[in-house]
Amino acid sequence: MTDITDQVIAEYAIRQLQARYTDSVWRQDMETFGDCFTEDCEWKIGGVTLNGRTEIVSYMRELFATKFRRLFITLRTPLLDVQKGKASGRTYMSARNIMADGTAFAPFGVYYEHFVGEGDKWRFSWRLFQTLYAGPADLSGSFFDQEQFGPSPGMPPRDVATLDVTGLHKKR
Amino acid sequence: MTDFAAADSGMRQLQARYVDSVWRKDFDAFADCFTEGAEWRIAGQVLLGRAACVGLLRKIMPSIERVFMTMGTPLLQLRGEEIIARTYVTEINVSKGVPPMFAIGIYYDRCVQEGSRWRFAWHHYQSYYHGPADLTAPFRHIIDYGAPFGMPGSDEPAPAAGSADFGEETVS
Repeated sequence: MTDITDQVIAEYAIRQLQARYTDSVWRQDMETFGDCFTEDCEWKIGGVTLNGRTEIVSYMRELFATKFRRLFITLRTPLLDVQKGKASGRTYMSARNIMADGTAFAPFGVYYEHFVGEGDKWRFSWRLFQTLYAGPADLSGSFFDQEQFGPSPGMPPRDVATLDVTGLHKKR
Repeated sequence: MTDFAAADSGMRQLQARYVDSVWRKDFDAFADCFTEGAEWRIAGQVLLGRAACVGLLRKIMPSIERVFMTMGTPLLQLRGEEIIARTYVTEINVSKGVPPMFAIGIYYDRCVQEGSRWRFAWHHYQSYYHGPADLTAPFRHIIDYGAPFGMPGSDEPAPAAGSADFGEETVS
């Protein structure tokens, strides 16, 4: 149990982290993007498990450059469980993207994440992204039944499976 | 850190008052979001003073049925007594006689605290997209000010839509 001051400060720092993340994705600033992750962060997304900041940046740099023209992400309020110097939680997202071929892609999904405070910044130390909808903004695309983990603070186990439902990710 | 958390709360409350006043077309509440000497740069215009800022809203609102704005998390920095911020925003605009439109943009702000309230002292808007909700209109070029907290110059104009220095991407 943390006191309310710790809770408020952690929530503020995590929302700032998420804002840096979405800003860096929009601007395709991979240096700032990489600084959002701990050195040994693990990220499970689209059937792929990325290990470490270097691999995350390398993989996403190629994905952004080859698949997307624009990535505009909106994150909702993170639902958090704060402990001393670390936190975990879930955050729903939606996006308004333009693919490399010029078509619109407006998915939504959820991030399950662990966070740690490192100096004056908080960073992602573990992430699972689940796509919940993929398709155009008019919702004529596909919805996906992903595994759920109960009410907050329920979290996925670290070895949870990640599914490629969009076909965007490389087989590894 | 508590100073940042308090500033974050004040900034988000200011933005919530701003969004609410635009939705309700409450010009007095909108005006109260700006300092007396505020400067608002938008679409090639420079509006000086609170009266000029609210004057723009009074001028455009008769042709608009509804504006539903959603602000992302403001990225913040405290500089002395001032908040520096960048905030991504989306809008659903319903105007008389034309189909609903969707907009994506960014606000670069400098805010000051006056009594219990924070207000916009310098409010700079850049549009990235304005068109149908299916994103079939062209996106505009990003003017990238770098990682936070790069900001536009205080006298830098907010590009007008379609201007030569704010060209549009071709979507195939």
